[in-house]
Amino acid sequence: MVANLLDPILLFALPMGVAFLLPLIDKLGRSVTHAVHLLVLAAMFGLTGWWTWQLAHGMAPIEIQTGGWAPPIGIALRLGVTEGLLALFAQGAALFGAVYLWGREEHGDIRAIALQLALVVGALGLFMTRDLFNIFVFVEITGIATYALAMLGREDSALEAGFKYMLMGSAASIFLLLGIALLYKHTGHLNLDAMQAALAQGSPAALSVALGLVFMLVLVSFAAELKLFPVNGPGLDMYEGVDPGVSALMVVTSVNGYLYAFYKVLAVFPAEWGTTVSVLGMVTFVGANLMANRQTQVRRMLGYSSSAQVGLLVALLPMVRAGHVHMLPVLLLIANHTFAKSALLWLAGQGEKLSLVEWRGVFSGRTIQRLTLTAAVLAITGLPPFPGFFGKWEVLTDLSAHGGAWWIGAILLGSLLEFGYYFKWLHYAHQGEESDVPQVPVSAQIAPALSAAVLLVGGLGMSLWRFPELANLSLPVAVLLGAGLALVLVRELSSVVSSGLALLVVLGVVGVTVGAGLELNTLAGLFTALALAGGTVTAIAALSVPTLKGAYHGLFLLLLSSVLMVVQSEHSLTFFVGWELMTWTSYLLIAQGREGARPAWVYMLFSGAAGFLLLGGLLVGYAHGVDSFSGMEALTGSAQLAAWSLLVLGILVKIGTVGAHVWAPDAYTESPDVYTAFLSGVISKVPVFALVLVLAHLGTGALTMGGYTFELHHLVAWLGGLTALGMSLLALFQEDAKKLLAYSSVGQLGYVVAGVAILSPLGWAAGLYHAVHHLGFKAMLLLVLAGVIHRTGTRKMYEMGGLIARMPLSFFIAMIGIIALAGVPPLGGFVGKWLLYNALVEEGWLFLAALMMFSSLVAFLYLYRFIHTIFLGQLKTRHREIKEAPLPYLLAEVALLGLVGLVSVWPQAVLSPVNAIAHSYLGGRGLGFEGELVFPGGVVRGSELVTSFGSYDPVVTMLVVALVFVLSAGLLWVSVPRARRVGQLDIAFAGEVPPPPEEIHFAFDFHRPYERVFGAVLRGQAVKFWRGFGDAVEAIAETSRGIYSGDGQTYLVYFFGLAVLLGALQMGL
Amino acid sequence: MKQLIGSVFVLVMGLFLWSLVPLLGPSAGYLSTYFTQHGVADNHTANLVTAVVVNYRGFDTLGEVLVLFASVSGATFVLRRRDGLPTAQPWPASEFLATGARALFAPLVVFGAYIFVHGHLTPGGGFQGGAVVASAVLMLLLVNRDRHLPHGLMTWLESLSGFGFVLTGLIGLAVGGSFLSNKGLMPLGEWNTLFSGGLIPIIYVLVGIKVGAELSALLDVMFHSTGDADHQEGQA
Amino acid sequence: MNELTLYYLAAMSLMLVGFMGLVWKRNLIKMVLAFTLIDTGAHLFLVALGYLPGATAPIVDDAGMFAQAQSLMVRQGAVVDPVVQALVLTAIVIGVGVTALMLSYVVRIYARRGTLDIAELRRLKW
Repeated sequence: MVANLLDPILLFALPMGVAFLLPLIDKLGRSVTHAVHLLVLAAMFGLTGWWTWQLAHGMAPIEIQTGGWAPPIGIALRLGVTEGLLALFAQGAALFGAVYLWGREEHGDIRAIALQLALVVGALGLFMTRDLFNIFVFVEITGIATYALAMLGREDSALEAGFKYMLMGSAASIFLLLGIALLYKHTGHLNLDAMQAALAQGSPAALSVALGLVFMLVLVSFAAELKLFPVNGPGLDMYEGVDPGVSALMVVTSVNGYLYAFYKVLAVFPAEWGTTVSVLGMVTFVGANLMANRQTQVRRMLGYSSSAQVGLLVALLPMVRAGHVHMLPVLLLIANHTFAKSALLWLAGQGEKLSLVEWRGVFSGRTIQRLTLTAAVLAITGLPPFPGFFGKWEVLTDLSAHGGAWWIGAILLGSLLEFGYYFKWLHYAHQGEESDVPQVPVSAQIAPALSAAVLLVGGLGMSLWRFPELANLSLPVAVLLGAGLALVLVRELSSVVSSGLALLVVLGVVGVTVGAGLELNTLAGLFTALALAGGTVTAIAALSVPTLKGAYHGLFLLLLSSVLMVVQSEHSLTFFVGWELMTWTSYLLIAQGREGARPAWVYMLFSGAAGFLLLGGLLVGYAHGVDSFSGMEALTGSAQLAAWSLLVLGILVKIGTVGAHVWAPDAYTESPDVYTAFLSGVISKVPVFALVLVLAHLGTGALTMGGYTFELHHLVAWLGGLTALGMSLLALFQEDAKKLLAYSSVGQLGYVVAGVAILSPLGWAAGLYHAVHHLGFKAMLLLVLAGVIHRTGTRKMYEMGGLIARMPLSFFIAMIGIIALAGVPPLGGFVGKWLLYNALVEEGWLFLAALMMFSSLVAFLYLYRFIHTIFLGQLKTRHREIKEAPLPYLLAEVALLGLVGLVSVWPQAVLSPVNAIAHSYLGGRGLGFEGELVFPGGVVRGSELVTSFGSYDPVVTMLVVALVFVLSAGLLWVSVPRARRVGQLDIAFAGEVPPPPEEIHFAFDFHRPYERVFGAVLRGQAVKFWRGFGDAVEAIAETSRGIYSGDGQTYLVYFFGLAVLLGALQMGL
Repeated sequence: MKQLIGSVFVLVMGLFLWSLVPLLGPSAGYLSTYFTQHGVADNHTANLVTAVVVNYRGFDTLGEVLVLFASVSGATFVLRRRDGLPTAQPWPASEFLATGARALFAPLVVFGAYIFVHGHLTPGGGFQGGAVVASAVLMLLLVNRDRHLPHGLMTWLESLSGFGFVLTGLIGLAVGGSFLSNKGLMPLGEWNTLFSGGLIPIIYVLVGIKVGAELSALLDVMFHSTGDADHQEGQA
Repeated sequence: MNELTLYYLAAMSLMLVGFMGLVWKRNLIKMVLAFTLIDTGAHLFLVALGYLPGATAPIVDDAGMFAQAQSLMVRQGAVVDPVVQALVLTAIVIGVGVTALMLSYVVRIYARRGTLDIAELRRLKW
C-alpha cells in the first residue's frame, strides 16, 4: 500500500502540498521555509532523476492515472524519457533560480516562494499531462504565477510589462479554451491520444474546415505564449521590465512547458499543417535575432534572443513529428537554452538595468562571472563543446538528409545574426577597467556558475556519448585540452607559473608526438609539425610577457589542441568541432589584447560566417550520406559544385582573401603581441589546410554556362593573387609596424592560396612550401617586433628609429626575416616564389604570374620601411637606455631562424613531404596528373631543384652569397674611413617652431608618393563595403523593431491580425 | 487607425467563428455518453457534474485550486506595496446596509456551507459554496472598511483545507492505486443521500473551505490596498 | 433559428463585444471588463456545445432515472453533457483568478503612474 505512493504523481502532490502549507511552515521561522523550498525542489529533482535513469535504461514510459480511471475516461499523465529530461532541466534550473533569489529581500516573502513552486508544478504538468483541458489548467497556473512573480523587485517597469503580458496571455488562453472546446466537440474526447485516434480516422470535409480554424486558434494561442513573431511584444517587455531572476524562472519552467505542450497538441492535427508552424518559428528565429542587433539594453536583447531561440525550437517541432529530426538534439537545444539563458539573465541581474555600453568592465577582476558569461555566450551561440553545438549539428545533419536546404540556410543565417549581438555584449564586458557597479551577493554569483557548469559537463558528456568518434582524440589533443581547461579555470594564475606550465605541456606534447613517430609525408603530419613548431616558439616567447596570465595560456593550449584536432581529422564532425573550437579560443585570445575587443568582435563575425559556409558545405555531404572529406570524392554534379563552392567560400573568408580581409589586419594588430605570431604563423594556415583538403578531394568546381565550362579554381588563384597585391599595397601605408606586418601576413597567404589553387604538384609545392616558410619568417618578424614593442611601448614606426644600437640581435634577426620575406636568394622566400612562377608558367597563367611578381616588388617597399625606420636612423632620446629584447623572445627567434635556415638550404625537408602528398591526392583524382610528377621520388640531383624551366641550387647560392657578403663587407670596413658619429640632438631649428614631431620624422607617411597613386582606390574600399552592409542590416533591424510600439493595445491587434491571417490560410482563402 | 484595423480583424474573426456554428449541432460524444451512463454507478453521486469535477477530472480541480491559490497569493504579492494611493476615507455604511449585513451574514455562511456539503446531490459545490461564504465576508467589509479578518484562523483554514485535498488524493493513491481515486477507502453509500459518493463530499467540503477562505482573503487584501506601507507589513 | 443557434449567437456576440472593447477602449479597467465579457461569452459557448434538445440537467435525482443509471441504461440525450459544465466551472474559477490579478495590477499602475490609459504605458518598447 505504501509502495503505491512511490508514483510520479508525487512530483505534483509534494510541491502543491508544501505550497498550501507554506504559511504554517513559515510559523517555524523563515529559514525553515527557505530550507523546505530548496529541499522540495531537490527531492523532486532526485525522484525525477531516479525515474529518468530507469526510463533511459529501457523501462517503459510510466503511465499515470488519476481519479482511479484509465484514459480516455480520467486524466492521464505520462513520464517517459523526454518528459523526465525536461522535468530535470526545469527542476535543476529552478533550484539554481531559488539559490539566485536566496539573498533577496522580497524573496523572504513566502508568497513568492509559493508562486515559484506553482510555476514548477505548472511546467511539470505541461510536460507530463496527456489531457488537453489539463494543459489549459497548467497553462493558467504557470501564467498566473508568472504574472504575480513579475512584481518581485522594482515595481515601475515591471507593472507595465506585466500588465501587457497579462493582456496577451489572457487573449491567448481564451483562444486555447475555444480551441479545446471545439476539439472536444468534434472528437468527444479530452485525452490527447484518444483525440488523435478519433481524428486520424478521418472526418468529413466540413469538419476539416472546422479543424483548420481550431488549428488557427491553438497556434495563435501558443504563438502568444511562446512569444513568436509578431505577438512577442509583451514578452520582450517582460524580459526588459521584470527582475532577471523572474525572467530566468520563466525561461526554465513555463517556456519549456508551453513548448512541449504545443508539441503534444500538434500531434492531433494533420502533419502537413506543420509547415505553417515551422515558417512562423523560423521567421521568429531570424527576425528576432536580427532585431536583437539593435538593442542597447542587455535585458531586452536577451528577450529577443529568447524569442528567437524558442522560435527555432518551435520550427523544429513539426519536423520532429514528421520524423525528419530526432527528438534528442531538440532536447539538447532545450537544455542549452534553459541553462545558458538562465545564466545570462542572472548575470544581467548585476546592478540596475545596464545598457550595453555600461557593461564595460563590469566583470573585470570578477573571475567567476567572467568565466560564466563567456561560457554562457559560447553555449547559447551554439559553439562546441556545449550542448547547443551538438544539438544544432545533429538537427542540421538530420535536416540535410531530408532535403531541408532552405531550413538549414535560415538556421545558419539566424545563428550568424546571433553572433552579432552576443559577442558585442561579451566584447563590452571584456574591455575597460574596474567599474563601480557593486558586487552582487555570493548566491547570485553561484547560480549562473552552476548553470554554466551543467552546460560544460552536460555538453561534454552528451557529445561523447552521442558521437563516439569524438572520443577518438589523440593523446596530445587530449592532454592539451585538459591542461588548457585547467589553466582557464585558474585564470588569474601568475604569468610566471602559467607560462612555464604551458611551455612544459607543449614540450611534452611535442615529445609524445615525435616519439610516436610523426609521419611528415601526410597532410595531417605536415600541419601537425607546423602547429607544434609554431606552438613551441610562441610558448617560449610568452615566458617573457608578465601581463599574460593563466587565462591566456589556458586558451592558448586549447587553441593548439583545436588546431591539432582539425588537421588530424578527416571526419566532418571532428573537423568542424576543432574548427569552431579554434574560432572561439582565437576570439578570446584576440580579445585579450589591450584594444582587442572590437577587432575580436569583427573577427568573430567573419569567422562565424566562414564557419557556417563551411558547415553548409559539409552538410551537402551529409545530404548524400557522406560524413568525411575523403568521402566527398563521391559527390558529383550540382552537389559537388555546391559543396565545393560553400567550402571554398568559407575558407577564403577565414583566410581573409581580398574583399573579406577587413577582419584580419585589426585582429592581427590588436592581439597580444606574442599571440599575433601564432595567429599569423599557424592559425592562418589552418584554412589553407582545409583548402588543400577540399581541392584534393573535390577537385575543382566546374561551372557550365552555355556550353562553356569555367573551372572555379582559376578564380581562387586569381583571388589569391589579388590578395597578395592588394594587401602588400595596403601594407605600404601603415604607420603601425604591427599592422604593416598584419597586412603583409594576409598578403603572403595570397601567395599560398594562389599556389595551392593552381591544382598542380608544382603549385602545391610552391604553396605549401611557402606556408611552412611563412611560419618561420613571419613569426620571427612578429616576435622581433613584439620585443621592440615590449621595450619601447609603442607600435608607431615614427616613434622608433636607430634601435640597431640598442637591440642589435633583434636587428640582425629582423634583417634575415625581411630577406626571407622579400623572396631574394639565398633564403627560402626565393625558393617559394621561384616555384610559384614556375607553376604558373607551366599552366600558362602568365598574367597571374606577372601580378605576383609585381606584388613581390611592393613587398620590398614595405619591408624596407620596416627595417629602415625601426632599426636605422637616429635613436630617440627616450630609447637611449633600453635593452635588447628579453631572452625568451630571442630564443624563440633563434629557433625560427633555424627553421628558416633549414628550409632555405634544404627545401627538400618540406618539398619531399609535399611531393608525397601531391602524389597521393592529385595523382588519384583524375585531374590529368596521372603522368610523372614534377619531382618524381623526391628532389633529385643532389641539392638541386629542377623544373621544366630550369634549376635552382640553394646550397650553392647560399655559399656564393655568403662569400660575396663577407668580401664586400670586408672591403667596406677597410676602405671607408671612420665617420664622425652625430648625436640626435646635434641639430637646430633656427628659431622655427617645429611642426608636430611625427610629421617631421622621416618615417611618417613614408610612402606618400605611392599612396597618391594607389591610396584612393585601395584604402577602405572593402571596409566601406562591409560597413555599408552592416549599416543596411542594422537599418532593417531598426525599422522592423518599430512594430513593437510599446502599446499593449497594438499588440492585441497584432494578435487578432495573426489569427485572421492564419485563419484565412487554413480555410484556403 | 489602429482601432479600425483591429475592428476589421475582430469582425473577420467573428465570421470565422460563426462559420463553425452549422457544424456544432447537438451531439453527445464518447466522454459525455460514458459519464451519463456510468456516472451514478461509478460514484453513487446524483450530481454528474460533481462526479466529473471531483473524481473523473479531480486532477484538474486540484489544479484549479492551485490557480486560485496562486492568484490570491499573487494579488496579495502585487498589492504588498501601498504607496502612491491616498488612504481611503472610511465610508460610513448606511443603517440599512449595516443591519442587513448583520442579519444576513450568518445565514449566508450557512447557505454557502449547505451548498458545498450538498455538492454531490444538488447543483453547486465547493466553488459555488465558497463564493457564497465569501460574499458574506464582502458584506462585512462593506459595512466596516477598517475591519480585518482574523488572520491566524484564515491561514489555518486555507493551509489545512488545501493540504487536506492533496492528502486525500494521496490516500486515494495508497488505497485505490491512483491519485484522487475514490475506490476502496470509503463506502460509496446510497445514491441521493448525504453520505454518498465516497470521498467526493469530503473533497468538496475542503474545496469549499479553501475557496471561501481564499476569496475572503482576496477581498480583504483588495479592500486594504491603499494606505501607508507600515500599516500593511504587519499583515503579511 | 433554433434554440441552439440562439445560444451560439449570444455567446459569440458577447465575445465580439469584448474583443471590440479590447480594441477600442484604452482604459485599463474597461479592458479588464472586456476580458470578463469575452470569458463569459466563451463559457456560454462551451455550455452550449453540450446542449441536447429536450435534455435535463445532468443530475440524476429522480428514481426512474436512477433505475436506468444503475443498469447503465440512461437514455441517450436524457441529460446534457456534464463534461463541458465541469470544464466551464474550472474556466470560471480561472477567469476569476486572472481578473483579480489584473485588477490588482491596475490598482498599482494607478498608484505609480497616475493613469489608467494603456497608451501611456509605453516606456518599454522596440
